[in-house]
Amino acid sequence: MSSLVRKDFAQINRERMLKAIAHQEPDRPPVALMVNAPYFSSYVNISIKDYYDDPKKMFEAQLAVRKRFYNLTPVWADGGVAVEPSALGGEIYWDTAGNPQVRPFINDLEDIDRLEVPDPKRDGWMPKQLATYDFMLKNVERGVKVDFGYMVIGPVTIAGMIRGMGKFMVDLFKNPDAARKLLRICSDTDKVWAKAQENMVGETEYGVFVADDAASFLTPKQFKNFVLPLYKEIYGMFPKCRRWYHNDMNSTHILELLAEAGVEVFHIGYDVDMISAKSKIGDRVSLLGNIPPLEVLKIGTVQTVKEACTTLIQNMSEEGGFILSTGGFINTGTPTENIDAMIETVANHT
Amino acid sequence: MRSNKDSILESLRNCIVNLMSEDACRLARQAKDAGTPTELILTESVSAALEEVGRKYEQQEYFLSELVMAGEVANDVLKEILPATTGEKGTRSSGKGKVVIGTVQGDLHDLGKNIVINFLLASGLDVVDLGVDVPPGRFLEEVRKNNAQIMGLSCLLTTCLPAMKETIATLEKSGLRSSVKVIVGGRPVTESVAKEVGADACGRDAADGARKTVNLLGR
Repeated sequence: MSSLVRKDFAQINRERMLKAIAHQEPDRPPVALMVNAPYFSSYVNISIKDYYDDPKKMFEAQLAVRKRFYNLTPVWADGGVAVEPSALGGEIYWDTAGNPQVRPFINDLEDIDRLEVPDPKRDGWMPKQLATYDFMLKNVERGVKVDFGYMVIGPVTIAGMIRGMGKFMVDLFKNPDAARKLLRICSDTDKVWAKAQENMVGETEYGVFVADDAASFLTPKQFKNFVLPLYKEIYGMFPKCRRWYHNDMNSTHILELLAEAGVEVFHIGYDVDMISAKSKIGDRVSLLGNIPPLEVLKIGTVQTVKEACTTLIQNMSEEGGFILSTGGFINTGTPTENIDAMIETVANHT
Repeated sequence: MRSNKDSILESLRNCIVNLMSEDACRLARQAKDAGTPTELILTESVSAALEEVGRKYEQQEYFLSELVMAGEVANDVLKEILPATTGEKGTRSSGKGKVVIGTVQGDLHDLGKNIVINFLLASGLDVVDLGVDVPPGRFLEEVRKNNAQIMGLSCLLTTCLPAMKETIATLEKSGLRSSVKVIVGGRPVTESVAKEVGADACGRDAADGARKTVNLLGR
């Protein structure tokens, strides 16, 4: 643990984050640690499969990382990328790294007509995830405030997973009506799944979180025609919630459209030029990122991490709308002192 | 003065660049019926078109879905001009060089790999596609079985870069490394990563990967 980070840092950081998201300039920029299954599981030396299979182990892993990193990391029922595709009928299997995956199963375009919007209490991994939320809610340590968001894998990523990404990309050109139909059912799946999470965890300050990296594969015209209206619908279901978005692929070409879709806080990829992104959409969208998680945070030194963070802060902090983070999730094996260095840079930034 | 054959080849090239599959296939049939050698269609139209698409992608005039679609159109054309010998697994026998390619163990992403395969086929190379999540031993087995000159490793997840390194180390241990060139590619793969994992070359994107593969074969 760093002696340079105050015990009440999470609370201070939260206030800075709210201010930054409101496009006001906090006294110092906020920081967010974006962590998921590989890091959580490796931190407590369990397999990724055990992490996903056992709600208690998942919860303990998330709480252990949260405790180590000053209560800055999230706690949630993590289903990886398998929840929505499995609920649509995909068979879950474990890849060699231990992650849950779903094999593409839309072999013919006619298969799309047979898809049904899932029932979260019945289909695929959704009931398991709801049970995990239930377990977490019942076991949250007294005095620890955990704010769950409503997390969904976005429609393009789901469509690509269940159809096969290459086939889906080709469908966009050769079979646009079928592609549209598939995206519609994926988006409707997102809506029922987000609603089911809302029913389970109640109102959230965090908000709705859409993760849709594959959206970057589309041309701006395709994104506008096929996807933008669907994002608006998903976010529109939760008018009181913050609208988070994760896409750590290169999204430079769809930035304006993401703002138009209503994205409020964007976890942005490391290869997007942040200064340019700020000038394009910084007045409407808060940008969360984008220190390279591998080349800087994992294999860099404390010094190079601090330098990269300082430069980014100098370029981005003015007028708020910026949260320091990695441009992607933190990698397994990232030295804890490098993560501390990122936090300390914010804690000490003047 | 340009001949009719030249004009067809140019139109075919433009159709591939503009992602017009049906027109491209019609022109490919027309070129073939006019007696244009397959090799000429491949180099003047298909390969040249994919080079142009690759350039547009590098300059961000085209995006990934267009790159995939260009590969699809090229593949459609290849089926017209080489109907009996080109399949999804890439088993054409041109004798120009053989590439064993796959996504490394732990990674299930095949989009980039599949685009590269279409580019390699359009360059006249034989390709053996091992699919995704391929263990090091399987790469070695297939390189040996197919007598491949090139091993291509794809990876999207940074967490799978160690698998890339392990695959090359397995090739090294087998004693085959000196006779097999290794090219790596994928989003997290930079020149420095390629060097770190022990590869001979790194493809920035599909077009660059295909170009470098051809260079590695010394053509």
